Amino acid sequence: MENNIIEVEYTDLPEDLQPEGNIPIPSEASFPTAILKTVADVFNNVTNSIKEYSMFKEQEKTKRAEIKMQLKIGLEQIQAQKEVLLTDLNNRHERDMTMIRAIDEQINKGLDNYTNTINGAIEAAKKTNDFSAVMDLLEMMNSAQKASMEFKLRMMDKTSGMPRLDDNSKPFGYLG
Amino acid sequence: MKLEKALFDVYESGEEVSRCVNDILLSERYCAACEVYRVYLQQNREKAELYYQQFKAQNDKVFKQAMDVFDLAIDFHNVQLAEAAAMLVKTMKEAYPNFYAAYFKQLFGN
Repeated sequence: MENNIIEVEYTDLPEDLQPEGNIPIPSEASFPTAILKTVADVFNNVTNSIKEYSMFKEQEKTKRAEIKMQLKIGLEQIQAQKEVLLTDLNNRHERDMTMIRAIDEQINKGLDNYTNTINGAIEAAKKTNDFSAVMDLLEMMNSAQKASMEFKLRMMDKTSGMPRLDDNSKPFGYLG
Repeated sequence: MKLEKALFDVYESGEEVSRCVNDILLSERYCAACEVYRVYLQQNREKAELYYQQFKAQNDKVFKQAMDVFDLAIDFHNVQLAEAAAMLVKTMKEAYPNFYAAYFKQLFGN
């Protein structure tokens, strides 16, 4: 069995580093003093821990309030934006519907006038056998019909664009 | 050491809560956008249906007028009257494809 002893060379300190005389070693000779010192150290440690814990607790409270407020404000902002957009949409829709009905009423009036006039002309033409007035009126009705159709198509083309909220991001993890 | 770990865990939990709050706000925003889009589609549908009803009503009137003139042309053997009636029908026929294209665009928006 080998001896695992590390061989060390001991040398003396150089003369200038060698201490003069005996070196005093401080020690608490008195037992009550030692006890008091230990108690004081423990008390200090506990006090410091309590202070740190209180500080941390305060920070946590502040952060909680901050998060709660962030959520509340965020939700209220979204709600407000949504209300504005919905009000805008509803107002525009009401206006558009009123306009569509009004224009249609005018077109129908015109159409009815043509129909009545043509029927009157037909009755007159049956007696005279001269349908030129009827054909002229039919041509005018045809042109009016074309114009009103084009106007309607232009009106339909002016569909209002989709209003958007400012941030259109999808939720985290949303697939689609 | 245990106290430090506990404090760190609390901090991490707080950060996680913050992330959850951001996700909640994103979801809310998306749902709000869906609600607006739903109303938009509904309104587009109402407008498209109104246009369709009006188009149909007007075409019915013109069609009836054309039929009456055709009958008259047949009774009186008048070719020009028949051509005039045919012109009315032709205008109606040409309007249909354009109207339906605009109708579908109105229905589903831009």
